[in-house]
Amino acid sequence: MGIANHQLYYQQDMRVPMTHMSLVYCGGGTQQEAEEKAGLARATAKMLFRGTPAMNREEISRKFELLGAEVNAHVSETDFVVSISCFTKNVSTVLDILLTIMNDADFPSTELEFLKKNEINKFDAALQDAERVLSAGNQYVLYGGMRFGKIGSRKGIANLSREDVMEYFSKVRAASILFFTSISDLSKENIEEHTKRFALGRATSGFALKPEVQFKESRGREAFIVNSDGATNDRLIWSQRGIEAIDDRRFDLNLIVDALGSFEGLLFDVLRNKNGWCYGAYAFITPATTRRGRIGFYSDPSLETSSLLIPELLRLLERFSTEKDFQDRLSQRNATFKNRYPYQLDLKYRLSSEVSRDRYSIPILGRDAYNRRIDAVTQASAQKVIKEVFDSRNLCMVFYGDAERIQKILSRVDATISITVMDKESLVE
Amino acid sequence: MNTGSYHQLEEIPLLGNLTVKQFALDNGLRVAIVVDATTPIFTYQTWFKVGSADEPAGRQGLAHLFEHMMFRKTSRYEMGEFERIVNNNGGTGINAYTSRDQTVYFFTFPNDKLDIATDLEADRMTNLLIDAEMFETEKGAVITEKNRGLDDPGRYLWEEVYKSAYTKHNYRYSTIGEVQSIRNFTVEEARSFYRNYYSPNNALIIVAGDVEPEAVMKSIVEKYGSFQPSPPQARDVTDEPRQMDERASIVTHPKATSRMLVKLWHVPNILHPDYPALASVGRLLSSGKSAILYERILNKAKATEVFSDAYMSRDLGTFEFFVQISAGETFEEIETIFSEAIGELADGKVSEEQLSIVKNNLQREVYQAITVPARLARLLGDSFIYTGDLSYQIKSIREIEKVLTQDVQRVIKEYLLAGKSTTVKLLPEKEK
Repeated sequence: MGIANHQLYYQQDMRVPMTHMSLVYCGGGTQQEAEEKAGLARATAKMLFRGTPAMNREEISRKFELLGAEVNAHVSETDFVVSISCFTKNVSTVLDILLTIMNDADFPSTELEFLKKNEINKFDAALQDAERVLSAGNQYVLYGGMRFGKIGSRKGIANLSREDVMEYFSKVRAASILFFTSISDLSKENIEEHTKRFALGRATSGFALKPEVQFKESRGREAFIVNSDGATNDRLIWSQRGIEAIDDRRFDLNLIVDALGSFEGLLFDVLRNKNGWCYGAYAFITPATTRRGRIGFYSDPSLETSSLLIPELLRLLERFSTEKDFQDRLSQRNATFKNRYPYQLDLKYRLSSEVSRDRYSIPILGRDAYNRRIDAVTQASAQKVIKEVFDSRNLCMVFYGDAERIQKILSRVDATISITVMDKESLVE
Repeated sequence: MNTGSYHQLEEIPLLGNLTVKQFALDNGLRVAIVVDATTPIFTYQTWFKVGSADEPAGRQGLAHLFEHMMFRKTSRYEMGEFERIVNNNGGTGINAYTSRDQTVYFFTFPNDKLDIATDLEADRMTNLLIDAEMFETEKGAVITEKNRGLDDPGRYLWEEVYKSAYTKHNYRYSTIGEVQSIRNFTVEEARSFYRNYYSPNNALIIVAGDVEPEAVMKSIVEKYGSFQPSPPQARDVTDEPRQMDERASIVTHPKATSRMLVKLWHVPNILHPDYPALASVGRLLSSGKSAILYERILNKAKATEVFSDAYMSRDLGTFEFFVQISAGETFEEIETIFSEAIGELADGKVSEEQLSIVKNNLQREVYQAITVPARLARLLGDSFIYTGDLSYQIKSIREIEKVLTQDVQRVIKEYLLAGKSTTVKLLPEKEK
């Protein structure tokens, strides 16, 4: 399996006279950046609409908006994506302008300086948002010390030159695989015709998709505290190794994590509903792609209740499978998941399922086949998966809060936990 | 048992075959239905016309704390049963929010679970039990939520802005309230709040998605039809006196790493004929990449965030300008850029192109809302709360399309240039 070059993934939507399209350049994402130029992929995406010899930034924005179009570029770890939403009556003109810009973009130096300043300023803004800092801390640990989200690093951005951006974009455009997605009131044939202007004669000697970086594995319980003196409450994301995308145990795992950590799960019930120790308490799955997924846990205890919640959360993770309350919830999850099948028929969901099928070999199941897989999940099979997959002895425990106080709590709970204290600034350097 | 009856109100056309069907039960409950069978699911929202602005003096935070109690226990369902039933039946997106003028409860279900949705929501509209022990436990969760907010400089800034901009009206208070007031609420207060405001004649139900209107109304009449209306509760608020002075203050926050600025003017609320022109001013300034402030402030790296908008409320409206300023830039420079932009618009320097862009962006947003039932429902619900007319915002979009340069000039002169502003600047504590 794999995505064919110039493949179109399409869903028709006749409700409104709108066309949404994405050009996905596989391998054009942050995975291609050198450490000393972290932020280059995103900067390139943001520079794309900042000027050609014939049109400056303002004229580009105005041209698109006069046609009712919203055109952007963004990056993920693996991809460089150009997205278009416009009135269908104008789609041909909008795509012509887009093609001209992609051919002629000259990434003016003055614009690059504005952009670099803006990106660096965004670090300051992000560092005042506790949830973003927690998330960035978690990402920093799991990716082995890499960048703040996709923005990059202060040093990396400061190092960027116009030549870097130009070279990067030329490799993006020549990525070995370009595919398209679209939701439109136009026919598939019509959209295919529109995509040709971006596909015909395209070089494919640029970026090639690299394997995704595997998440860091924990050895024992490892705590990383992003220190924030005077934080008004604590926040935590703990995570552990998950399973691979096509692992047959994924159906059991989905039901287990839902019973443990959804709004109606055991964690929320014990930590929030029964004790009022926190605002949120959840378990979640970071889905596997070409890399193994992860199982995560989130909560945000108050300063007064953190010392109660942390040991209780650890206790629950060690023993939840034996709790009758969990088993009762799990026994009801077969019905839950079968009833949720209709959400898979949403147009955007279908589109992303088709991409995941080709990209990660995750099959799309019809309702009957899906129901059979859900029916096959039993208490016995789930208990087996819990034993095989859940591992509270090897946890990556990321915290945001007052390091000194959290350290004291952790040392009382489990003296074997290794603790690393991080400064917020270290996430962006 | 009398299960009541209902009558149909004016149907609101949206686009193509899409319409909003409106109904009213004899007990005053309003219902809006949008049929969209694209995906076999539906969103179900219950809007109560009560928010933090309805709270008695000194009791700030009650509406929000009460919202939490709605997920607890009824005479039919023990704690946790509500969520369990929603979950087992494939319900998702279960949540609620409280704002100044409304409290909204919502979830999404597969299309064959209509009766489950109506049963659950009808049950908690009339059978809620407020247990003293649970009430105390929930206060802990709300205080944690309050503390989370204290860590957020932006949230703190806005609380300070409204405290300064309103001297009498309840909009001066934050929705979540203060820790001490949360601790002091009594069970009896919560019960009284429930009796007064959670009644059919103070509620609107919006159902959008793959449903049959007849089946929806049959189920709603069956489940809600026998509920008795409560005496209407007049909002006990003091009118905000006309602002006669410029107000300016500087606040600091220990977690702030960027400077922020808010300027705010009182303007008429959404029902006033000037609202479409004021909304256009906001869009000309900051909606879309070609907007004036986007171009002069964001694209020039003078800030990382900027917006200006005419903010809708049930009572008094506001026109707001917000900037998160980049390091090395000054408040004065940003204020100068804003003043110059406003001055140019007041002088009639608005091109046909700019007005076309405002209309295009608005049209695109409406199309996008129509394809997401939860967003469409919010558009309808907000209109109902602020104006009593579900279709108001959809109609006002057509009014915005009629706005001319001279309308823009007139409202800027009348409300921004001749009016008095409230300015609050936020500094990182280390810059104090």
